[in-house]
Amino acid sequence: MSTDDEHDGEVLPQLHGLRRERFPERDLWPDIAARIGTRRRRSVRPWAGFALAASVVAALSVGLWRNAPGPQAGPAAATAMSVSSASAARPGRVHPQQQALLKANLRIVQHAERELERALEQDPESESLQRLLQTVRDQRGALKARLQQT
Amino acid sequence: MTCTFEGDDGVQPAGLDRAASGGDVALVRRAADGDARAFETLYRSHVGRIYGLCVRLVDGDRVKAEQYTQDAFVRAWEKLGSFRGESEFSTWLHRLTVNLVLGEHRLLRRWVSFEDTAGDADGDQGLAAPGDCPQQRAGDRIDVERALAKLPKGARAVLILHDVEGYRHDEIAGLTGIAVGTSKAQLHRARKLMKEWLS
Repeated sequence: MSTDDEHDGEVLPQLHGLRRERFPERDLWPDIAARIGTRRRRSVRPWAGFALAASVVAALSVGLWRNAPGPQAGPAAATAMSVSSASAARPGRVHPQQQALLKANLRIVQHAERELERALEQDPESESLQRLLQTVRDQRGALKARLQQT
Repeated sequence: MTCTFEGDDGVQPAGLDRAASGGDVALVRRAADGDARAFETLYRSHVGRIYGLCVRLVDGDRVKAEQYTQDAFVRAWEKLGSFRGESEFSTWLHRLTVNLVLGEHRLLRRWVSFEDTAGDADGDQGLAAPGDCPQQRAGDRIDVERALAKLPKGARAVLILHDVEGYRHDEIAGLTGIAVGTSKAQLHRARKLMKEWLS
């Protein structure tokens, strides 16, 4: 109990007998369960968000490597397209500027792979994380193979 | 105003069962990893204290209290990742609930209105007269609850937090945003009114 009672007078004796516990007339758990079921905790969400970002990066990398840009839009996709076009001119050979881009993508994909592995440690049964991890690993292998062509 | 006292600072209000919440550690860890069943066990263990707190802070309105209780547990689920284990889970949950109810119930504005209309609760309308109930002990309990419900909202919140839940004035100030001196003044007035009504 608080120690500053001397400044405020005595605690009413009647308050000592108050029940602190009271229970709702109905079970609130089903409603709570429904609500938390639709909200992933914030500590989990970054993993999912990062996994999504990783898959986008991977898709971008695939577009670059295959000379077949996907449906991505925006500056990153435009960069991939332009590099791909350059690559198409000389199939099988990687230009220096492409090499830098491939290495940057490789670092991102490797980072994504580590993050996904950590996420899977927390949620080992997640099929979506497992699929994403496999995809990222495939992309890492593809990027490495492409870099070895230089 | 939004209160920001959901921290995990190790201060434990009176009445929170340290032994019981000590067994929560494993459940909290599992719940933090997404185990809803573990969280349900925590809910079953703590719903009585949380609902009881909410009922008193919302004028005995059971519908509001149920809503706040749900909100508190949903928010706890979302914030479990920020629970560092430096205090008991029950303490952390209790603070989160107080913060939620006081913040979203917008008591602070009513506090100002209470201070501006200081004579609004001096009467004894609606209170049961002593001896109404043949069983004096049960009658006392009913009278206390009714007297609490009749207190101005700000004074009631301070009295409940201080005398029932065991918070100190500086903690109440931190939870609500009012000054320590205001908290003491509210408590003094609440006790005075309660004594008059219950004597």
